Amino acid sequence: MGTDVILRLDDLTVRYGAFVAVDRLSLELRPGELFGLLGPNGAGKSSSLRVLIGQRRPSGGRVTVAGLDLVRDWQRIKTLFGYVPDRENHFEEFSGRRNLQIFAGLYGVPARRVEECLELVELSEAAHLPVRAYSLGMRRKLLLARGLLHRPRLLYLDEPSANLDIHSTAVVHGILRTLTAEGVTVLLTTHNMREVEEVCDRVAILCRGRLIALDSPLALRQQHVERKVDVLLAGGARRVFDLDDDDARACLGKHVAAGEVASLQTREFDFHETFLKLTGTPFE
Amino acid sequence: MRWRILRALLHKEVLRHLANRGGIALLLLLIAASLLLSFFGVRDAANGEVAPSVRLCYVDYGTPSPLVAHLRSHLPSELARYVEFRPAQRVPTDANGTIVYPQGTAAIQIRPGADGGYRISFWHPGRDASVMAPFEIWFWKEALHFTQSQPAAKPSPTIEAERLQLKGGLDPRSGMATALLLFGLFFVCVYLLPSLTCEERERGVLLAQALSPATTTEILAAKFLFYPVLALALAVVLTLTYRPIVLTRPFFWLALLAAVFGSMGIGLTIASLARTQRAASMGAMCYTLAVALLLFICQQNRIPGLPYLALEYHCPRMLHAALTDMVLASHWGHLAGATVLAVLWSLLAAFLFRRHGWQ
Repeated sequence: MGTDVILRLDDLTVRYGAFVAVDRLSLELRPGELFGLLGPNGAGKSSSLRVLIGQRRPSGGRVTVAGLDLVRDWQRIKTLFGYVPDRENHFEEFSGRRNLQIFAGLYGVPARRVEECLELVELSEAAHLPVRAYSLGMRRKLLLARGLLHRPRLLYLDEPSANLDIHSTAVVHGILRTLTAEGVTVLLTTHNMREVEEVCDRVAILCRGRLIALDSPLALRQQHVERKVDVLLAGGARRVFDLDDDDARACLGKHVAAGEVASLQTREFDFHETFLKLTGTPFE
Repeated sequence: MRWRILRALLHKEVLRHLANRGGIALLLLLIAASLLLSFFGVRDAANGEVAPSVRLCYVDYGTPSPLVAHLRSHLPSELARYVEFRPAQRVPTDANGTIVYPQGTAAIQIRPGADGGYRISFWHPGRDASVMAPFEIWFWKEALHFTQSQPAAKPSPTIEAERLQLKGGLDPRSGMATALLLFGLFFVCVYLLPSLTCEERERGVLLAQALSPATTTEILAAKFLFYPVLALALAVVLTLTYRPIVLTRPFFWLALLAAVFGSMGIGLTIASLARTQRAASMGAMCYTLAVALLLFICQQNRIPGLPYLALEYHCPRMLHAALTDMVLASHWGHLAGATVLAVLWSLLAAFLFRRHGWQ
């Protein structure tokens, strides 16, 4: 994989005094990959992201972006990534367009790129309004537009769909898919397993700073789904049949053939149950 | 340092201030006050003098004499802190050789008189000579004791006395002009700068700028360019309305630059230490009040040395001297002191801002 890795974390450790927020986290992200960092509060997602955006130096380990060392080559790395924080940080008194123009000036991108980004996030019509008049969803979309101004190779998103309605979430997910198709790598942190399943190619599940699972959402689902069936029999009795058990499977077949089954329900993948099983702690 | 980025950052500062109506209103008020002062202010210092008080009385003498020795050895303890004996060599003069007394002081000058006697001049600030009453009472009481203590065979020395009013003084117009100028500088650099910088930090916009190609040095440089220029522009407008001729004096510009960069350093230090906009406003206010209180206590109790460490001690003196065209050697000393303090504050501010000011 070597040179094909855009972001590499080698034993990344982040400590706050004696507290270990991230414990020897190792990851490799490839170009065009949409990667999810999933975990409850305090799992180490934000601490990892703080290191990636240069707000905190790693306590241990090493991070490279496109082969450049995060600490040593920070100034060069800054132009390679875009960052969409979980909390909107705009100049409230300026319009959406003016906000983007200010950052376009800093990135040295042409004015037409501002209009492209506004159009991309469906904010062209509201571009002249002051940001203080924007809804939470519009503000988040403006953040995404700002993160994309300089066409970054790597995009970090912190809880990208928070405060977005269904349509806006779909728009954002659509943009992310388009970006990855163009070769941009997207790293997003989220609490939301459904979002991960919908958009991510791979997901890393963190708990208490440690990596507990790393795979595609589909593989995770297949590995951890409970192959059991809840059955309500005609007499009112409830039974659970384990499909991995031959006897139970044969017994269920008999009930179905005899027409004794009033209702039957397969168990869905339950992320919270899976998380509990993997970590021994509830997902909170 | 890239000009493209500096320009973008400066443009952002200009836009932010244009959108800050409160700040614009206060700047306009300052200019309006200066215009009012210019058109309606009392121009004659002697007529419009601020009611003076005497916090220190100098006893200046040409040569040590028995009378001076007597006065020195009979100084009551309650006046000891308010009287200072000086030989003529130590008395500061201006370029024309005229003796100069600082604001809030008076003087008893003792010169040799006819026939071995003494000629005494009581110099009092303002028109009311009674401000010197405690010192005059002491002087005459001890002068009487001195003459009575002379041997009977020897004729008593004659003492001729006169009362004189010190010229100049703090006229309201120049005092107000200095105050407006200082207020303008501190408003821009010690209040506006920390307040708007911390607002950016609190909202996370400072972080967004720091994550852009702009380096911390460039963000810092933009602030060190924008705010001094704004403060200087305001100072020039205020000075234009007061006395345009002052703008041709090099000392005025040197004093102004020292004051601006010193207050910038203070403002940026507050901005680097305060986490929120509210903390920055409180910090600016507390700093100003604390320094004012410290200077007042030092002045009242004649605590030496400490005031020299405050930029606010040097700035009013040198700016007032510049505005009134009465620059003495001591004012160059204040300028040197202010420059050293401005450099120290700026270095501290740059260090703190680079370390964690943008986070």
